Amino acid sequence: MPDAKAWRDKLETKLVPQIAENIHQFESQMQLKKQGKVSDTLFAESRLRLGLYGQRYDNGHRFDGVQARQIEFPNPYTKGHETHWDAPGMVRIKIPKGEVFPDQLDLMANLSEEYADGVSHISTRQDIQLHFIRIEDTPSLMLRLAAVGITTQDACGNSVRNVTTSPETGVEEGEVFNVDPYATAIFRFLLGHPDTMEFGRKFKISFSGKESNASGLTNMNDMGFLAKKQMVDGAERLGFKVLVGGGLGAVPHDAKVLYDFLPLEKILPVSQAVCRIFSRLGEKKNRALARVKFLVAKIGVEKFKDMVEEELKTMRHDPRWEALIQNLEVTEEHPKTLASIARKGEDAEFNTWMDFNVRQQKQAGYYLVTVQVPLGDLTPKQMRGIAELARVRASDSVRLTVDQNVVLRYVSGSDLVHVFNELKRLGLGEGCSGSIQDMTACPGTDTCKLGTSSSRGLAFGLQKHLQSKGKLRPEIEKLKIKMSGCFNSCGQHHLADIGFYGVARKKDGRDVPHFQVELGGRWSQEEGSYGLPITAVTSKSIPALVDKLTDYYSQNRKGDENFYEFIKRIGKKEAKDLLEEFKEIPDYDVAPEYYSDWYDHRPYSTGDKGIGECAGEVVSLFEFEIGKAERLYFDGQVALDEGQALQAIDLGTAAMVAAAGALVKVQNKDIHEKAEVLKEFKLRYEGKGLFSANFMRYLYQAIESTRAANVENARQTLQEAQLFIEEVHASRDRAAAALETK
Amino acid sequence: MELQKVVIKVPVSAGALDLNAIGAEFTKWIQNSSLPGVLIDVADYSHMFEGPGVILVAHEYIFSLDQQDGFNGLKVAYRLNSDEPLAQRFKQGLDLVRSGIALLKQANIEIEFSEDQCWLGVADRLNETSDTHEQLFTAAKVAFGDKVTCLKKSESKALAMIKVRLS
Repeated sequence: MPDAKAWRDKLETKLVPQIAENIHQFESQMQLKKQGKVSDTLFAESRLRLGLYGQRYDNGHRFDGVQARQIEFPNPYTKGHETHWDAPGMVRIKIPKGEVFPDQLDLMANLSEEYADGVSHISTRQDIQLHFIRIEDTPSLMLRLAAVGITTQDACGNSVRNVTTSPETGVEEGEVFNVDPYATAIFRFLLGHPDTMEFGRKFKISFSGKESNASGLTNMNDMGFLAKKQMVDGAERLGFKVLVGGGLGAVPHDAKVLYDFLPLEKILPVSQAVCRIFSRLGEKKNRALARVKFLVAKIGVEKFKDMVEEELKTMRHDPRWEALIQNLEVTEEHPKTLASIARKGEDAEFNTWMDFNVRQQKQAGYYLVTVQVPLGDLTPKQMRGIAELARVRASDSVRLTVDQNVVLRYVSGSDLVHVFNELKRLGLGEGCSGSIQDMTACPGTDTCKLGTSSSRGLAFGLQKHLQSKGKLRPEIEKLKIKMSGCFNSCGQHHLADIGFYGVARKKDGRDVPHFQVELGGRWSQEEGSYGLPITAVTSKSIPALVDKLTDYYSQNRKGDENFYEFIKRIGKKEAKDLLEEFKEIPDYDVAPEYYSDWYDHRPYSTGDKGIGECAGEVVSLFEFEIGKAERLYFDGQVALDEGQALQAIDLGTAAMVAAAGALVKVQNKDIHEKAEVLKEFKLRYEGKGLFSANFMRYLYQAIESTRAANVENARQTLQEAQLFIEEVHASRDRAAAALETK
Repeated sequence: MELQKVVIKVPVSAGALDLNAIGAEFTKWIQNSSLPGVLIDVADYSHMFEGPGVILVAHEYIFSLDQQDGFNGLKVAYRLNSDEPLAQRFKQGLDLVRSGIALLKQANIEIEFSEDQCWLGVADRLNETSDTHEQLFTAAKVAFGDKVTCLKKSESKALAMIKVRLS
């Protein structure tokens, strides 16, 4: 990977050493994987934790429309189970709180041109995703992101995923307080935290500053923080209502209240305690039951809370608990133009855009502008255009939203016409944010290995259909439509007035794309707001279904009844009867279009589905730690080959310490520092017959003696390191065998 | 190190742009292995304003009926670095685009191209310098002869490209 080395040299002064080191370690691991020295499981989880996700067809199988074919990728290596090394993949770029700055937008535009297909996709967790990426390009890509302060670490895999917040936080009328810096603190604290290394599944956190604003979705996350004030001894105190065990997925769960009020200074230790409990007690074998929501449901929130309290007592104090809260990172936002009250004009298009896409901030004379992004996809030119608008007409703090749009903050009323015209020039001037035409869709069969039907295709097809109908009635215009390519709910279909998720049916031996319809979900913080599953319908009939359903709603609603209330009143049976005709699959000879998916020219087939990587791989702490030791050893060999004797000795020694750490950390996760590792290793292994005394001596010699920096000593240290690592494996195996015998 | 990851785009000169029909053709190209390389998938971006249009993803390159930069064109963007001289890669890239144009003609897709001109460039900001446009033009002359003239250069921030008349 010569490019990565060149980028590292070029960007050296801009890189945080630890981040650069993590990327370098991944490069080493790539080399070791090619040499067959790292397992598929370990490599897959390592790359997932760096945001490097698999993509559809990476198992090398694809139905081309005529026959199922093997894609003949050139390299024989794999990057996971049944995952070809050369198969294009997705990179998920973690954007904490969805907050992104102009230079970062420019950089991501460049990356999409150089490494991807020229498209930056906004995910439903405020990330940016690039598709069709070669794994060989990922170290360069990650280094370039790191140079502008962005990491992909923990973007996928069984880790703490992107921390989300409302895009309005800090500027919204009526919010309790600005939750933004607390979300930053928790992101920094849990990023790569040792207590998050052994999860059985992913863990999602969300913040919101205002209960009535749904965009934080605190009720639908593994852990949600809702800003709250409380009077204590006559003084106002800030904190959070803390929720736990919420989530969408195939089986949605409302979060339960863990703390009705948790003071600010407690949020980090409590989060850590929840992670430790999830890590220890969460399901590891059955992925379908491995999220926190199942654990909370199983043991009850009261018991879960007791466990959190107990855990807090046993945890070693971490000075970062206070430091990160006392020294909050607050984004200072500087508007570029003086505040000014907005006014509508003569232009009807502008006025409509004002109605749908512009909201007043609590700071008088400043406005939030929602840029509606079709299917969350942006071209490089659009990314740069938004960056430029932020530089000259808004705050530098641009927000990506969970409904796949972009929000500009601190736009002065006097700049709105300019911003509108500029967005129109970029093809982003649609004035229907938050309306029925502003749909949310996950990647579905376009790129996701789990997709059953084309959610993006359906969204675009339906959007075009609705646009062709002209002005819609106000009660219909307000409805929300969301779709997912499968039951996993990445498109948040449970929360929509009209939700769809992909399923398949057969007729006369042919596969037919379908969507399950869910009605009456709500984009709200309140409980019981998930949609009611009604029935599965053919994908191609959905535009007609939406017409019939919305007409029926308009004609039969009582007073100001909203769609949720309407569906609740008419009930599942009446709704099902209404949709009955859309279950009908016409014969192939009559309507062949029903047998292919939206914007896909192949006959529809479910044969392309692969094994998803949403769940990540369950990799033990031991495997992670021993993997680290092996990478250090490998780097030592490279240094020796390059004549860097001193560096090779240091790396060989570090490899032995890391390997010893692998053994002791599985027994005590609170051990992090080198001195602690050595102390614990001595305590637990010396004279116990559990570890060869000869190999143990290698470690102590390397630590205690200062070997002259020559090639001979370097070679010897590395040989000893290799033997030491082997003995760590053997010791671990012996302990496991002894346990089995018992 | 020479500039890497060549990009070539030949502009559409006439005909209504039917991305749906072109997507169907790209699908057939995979079925029939009509282009060299490891052909993988087709993706439709017709919902995007001046976006990549419809793309054919191969291991070695991405082929597209592209709508970016204010004009439509058939484009190839190489994904792999190469040891070949830049001029040679321009020739190979243009040959590939011309193969695509020929396939679209065979399929009776109603679209015409200005084959006497094209945009040439590189997706390589690592090796980009202030004289990258000059390097591109020099390579273009080596590849296509001294009659090549430079008509336009890309704007700052965009990929380094030049528009050339080939004869």
